[in-house]
Amino acid sequence: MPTVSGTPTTCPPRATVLGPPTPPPPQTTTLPQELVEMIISYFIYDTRTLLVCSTTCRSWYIAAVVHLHHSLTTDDYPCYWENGRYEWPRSLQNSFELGLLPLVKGFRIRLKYPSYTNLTLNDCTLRYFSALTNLQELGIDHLQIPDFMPNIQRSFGQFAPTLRLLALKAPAGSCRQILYFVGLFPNLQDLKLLMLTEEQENMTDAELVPLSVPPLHGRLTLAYFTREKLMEDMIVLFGGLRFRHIDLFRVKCVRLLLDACTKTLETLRLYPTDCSGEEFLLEGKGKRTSSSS
Amino acid sequence: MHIRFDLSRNQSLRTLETTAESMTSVDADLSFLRTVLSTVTSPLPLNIVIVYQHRDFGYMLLWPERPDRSDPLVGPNPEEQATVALHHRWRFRELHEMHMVRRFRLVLCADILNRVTEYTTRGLERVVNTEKAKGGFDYLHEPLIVSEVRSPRTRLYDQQTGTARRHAICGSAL
Repeated sequence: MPTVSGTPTTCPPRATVLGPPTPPPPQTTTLPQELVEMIISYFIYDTRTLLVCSTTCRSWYIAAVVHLHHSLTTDDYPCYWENGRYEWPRSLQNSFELGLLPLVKGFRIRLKYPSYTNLTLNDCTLRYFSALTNLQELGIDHLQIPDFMPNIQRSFGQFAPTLRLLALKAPAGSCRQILYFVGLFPNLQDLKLLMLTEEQENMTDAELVPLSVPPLHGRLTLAYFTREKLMEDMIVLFGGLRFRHIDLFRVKCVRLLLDACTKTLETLRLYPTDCSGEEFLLEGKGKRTSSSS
Repeated sequence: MHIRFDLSRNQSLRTLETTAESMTSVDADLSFLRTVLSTVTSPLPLNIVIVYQHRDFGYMLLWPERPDRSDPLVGPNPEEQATVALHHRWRFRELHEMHMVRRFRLVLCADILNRVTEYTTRGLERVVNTEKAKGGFDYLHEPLIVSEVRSPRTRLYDQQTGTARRHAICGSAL
């Protein structure tokens, strides 16, 4: 084919009028998967768009599905019976049966009625936990730790290799039991403790020692926290505190905490409304009837 | 009163954060941040981060989501607009007074939430531009930074804005 001087010889030949249309080469119609993933990642908080993307083509599905199933939250309702069949927790079971649990990075269990914790987190449901092989963030409301002792490692120990963030809201148990639970996760970086108020300590577990000392050099979030002994025990048992970011709202042991993190604290979040809680803190009652969230 | 927040020993402190809402809440102590700031002795440059949400611009989320999937927000009426503007003035005045206590770099963050993102971001940009035009940030020695941040939400909150499916899934449930 003749070429014009200066025209690159690599230009595709122009199609003749009578000839069949030349199909474009595949590389011009398909973006590299890593680019697709980068583009889809802009929609990580837009579930609707992710759902649409996931039904477009296989390439987009692969890029979107990891974000769609990043987080899994159970219902507020602790359990219910339907036709004699144990249904709780349906979302966990459905994801398990679809093989989606390995995609879950964040899992939150919101239990409305604390007394049902042991019922709902029985062997049947804990079986699904073993499929959460990449779980990084775990949140549990109203966890009754004493109900799981002393074999609590059997229930939650499978998260130990991957878990980075633990969020506990109004957990029940002695300080040692709560710290024992925290110590189940040797790679834990972030800790969130909400609504922990003074409780009568059980002296029988005073010798309970955590199985590991997590690094805990990420973010600590405390809200409605008046359990000073828990913080004291944490400092002793974990050999000090190393948090770099701290978020505090109505916390009793602020000075203890700030002093423990003198060398590591970089970011502190506080609230001008906190001072209105002085009375709440000084009285040490800490019993609230409404949720902090 | 705020001796609990004595930061004089925290020599690696770089950032103090708070929310715009808590600065103007009815039970807020306006001197709180100044008092805490006066205890900071860290030699590092200090950032003050103020996190804004859609509520700080007078928008309210509707519950439940509208069936026609129209906008889940309602905007402020004229009376509320006046209150919103007043709160912005209070905050900027307080920030100016804080800067007299200790020099810092100011970072204003729009806490984004998917479909309501544009309201918060645009609202913050509008307020900042208005304040800049009045010379309200002339006291700052370093450039003002306006950015976006996304705080972790509960599923309920995400669902409220129509971003979560039943039994599932949101950006971060924690």
